[in-house]
Amino acid sequence: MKTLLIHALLYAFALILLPTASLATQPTSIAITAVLVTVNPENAPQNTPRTITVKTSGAFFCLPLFGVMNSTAVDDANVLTITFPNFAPGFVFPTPPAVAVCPAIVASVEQSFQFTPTKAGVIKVRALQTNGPISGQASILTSPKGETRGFADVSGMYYDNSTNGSGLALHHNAQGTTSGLFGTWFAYDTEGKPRWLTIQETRWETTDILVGNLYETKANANQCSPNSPLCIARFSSIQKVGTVRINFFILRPLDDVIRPTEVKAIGLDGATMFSSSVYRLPL
Amino acid sequence: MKMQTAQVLTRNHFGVIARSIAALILSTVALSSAAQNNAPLPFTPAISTEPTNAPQNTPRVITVQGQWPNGCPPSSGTMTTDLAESDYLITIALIIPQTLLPCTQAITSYTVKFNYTPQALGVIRVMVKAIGDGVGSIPGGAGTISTSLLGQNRGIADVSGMWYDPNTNGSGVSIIHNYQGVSSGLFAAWFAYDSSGNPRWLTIQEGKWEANNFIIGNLYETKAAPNQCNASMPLCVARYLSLVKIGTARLSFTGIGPNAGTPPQATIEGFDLNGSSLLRSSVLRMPL
Repeated sequence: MKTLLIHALLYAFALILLPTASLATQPTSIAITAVLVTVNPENAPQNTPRTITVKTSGAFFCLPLFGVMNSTAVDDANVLTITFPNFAPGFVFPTPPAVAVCPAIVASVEQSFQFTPTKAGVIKVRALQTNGPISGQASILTSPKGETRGFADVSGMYYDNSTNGSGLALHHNAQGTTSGLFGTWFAYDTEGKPRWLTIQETRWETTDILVGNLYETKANANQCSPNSPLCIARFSSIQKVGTVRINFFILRPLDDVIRPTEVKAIGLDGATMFSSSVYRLPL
Repeated sequence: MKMQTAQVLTRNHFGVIARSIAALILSTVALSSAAQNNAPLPFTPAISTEPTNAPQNTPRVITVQGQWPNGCPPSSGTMTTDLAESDYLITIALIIPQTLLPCTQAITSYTVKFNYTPQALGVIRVMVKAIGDGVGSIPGGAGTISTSLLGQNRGIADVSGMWYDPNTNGSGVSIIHNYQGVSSGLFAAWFAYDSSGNPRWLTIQEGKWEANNFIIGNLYETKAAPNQCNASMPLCVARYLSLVKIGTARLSFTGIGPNAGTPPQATIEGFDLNGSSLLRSSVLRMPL
């Protein structure tokens, strides 16, 4: 009887005190049905306060209720981490192995965090459990004041199947400060010979539309060796032949509609020189 | 007598309980205090995979090592995979140990190894963090595991970009590399000039990685039918009329991949169908 009393008292006391220690030695993840991370505003100039909202859906009594964001801990890969504990407190039995009892009541919990990016670029926000995998993520896009930037990385080869053999190669520094882009457009001359133009000094007019200047470069004649019809040479002239306007109809992560990218070359007189509806080439 | 015995037992009993409670409280406080003392500064682990690149179902050893800011480095961790994510990700959480004694301030080496066998082709990103009571989650670093088809190589790093030689500015190579993809495929366009000084381009297609920094592909020239352009415009977008393989191209890279140490450079060489050199350029990646 007395032994039972002692054990009962110690067990009751342990129930109150031990969950933390038990958790530390028995890291366990819980199943969460959905985590949605949103940022508002998603794309804004430097020093604009953002609200990051993490909405978690799953079994209510097992949802991680209180996340922690260390706003100074944006790591080298520009990732901002919001960490949630593995369990809501009070639902852990200390008997080994540690287990959580999760009543099957589906509900959702929402928690907001404030963050103000001070540098231009892209920061990825990741919500994760202390010992678990990444549960949800979003991006914070920051432009220099007065400018905007593309929503997504648009790097790739683009072509229209009906004019296969022409196309564009775009290199986009999507993560960088400027969201800069350098492009080349492959076309043909009146003899049917392959010619190229470059797209430079680009600027994002909106998050979907990029404008830039279109240049043609030429080299001095007779630089190639007799056995090679082509040669690598320094340009002797670079001439602006017009501007380019590219509407990407950017694919948001949740969009399931693929739309072509509209590319238009506009001459110095403002008239359309040529245009193309292109898709990104899968590699 | 029975009563006295009972009283004595009760006193002893309470003494045991009191001592047990005191011990529990002290150990809990000590545990918590020690855990807080062990809160480390940000850490930067070196993450390597052996073998770095291998076929599917080849067991890999992921090694996380470095210098821990105090005398209580992690000696274990958990690994979770989230391959449904677009990032194709493995998360490693090093567990900061709880100790009953305060940690020394001595910087201490640590090495923790994990085993993983990739089943799918492509590149998996490995993220490392450290976790512990009272310190939350501390970001560490990232590495990669790359998996190719049996007997095939893949690029050790993403070589996408505009590459050019400052001495021949105005020529260059545009490389689009599906580094993370199943095939590690590469498509490149080489911008050059003809003997009249007009800009011409060639494409490099069907590339095959001979080593993780060396790829060989076919070199093509495309032409379109003449007189397709508008009279007011000397250039136009048109469908190709002919696609002629004029030779092969070899692209070799240095300064790429983990711990490269030097800036990325590449040598691009074009050979005709007889193996004679057509074009050659040593290029740097253009910063955007």
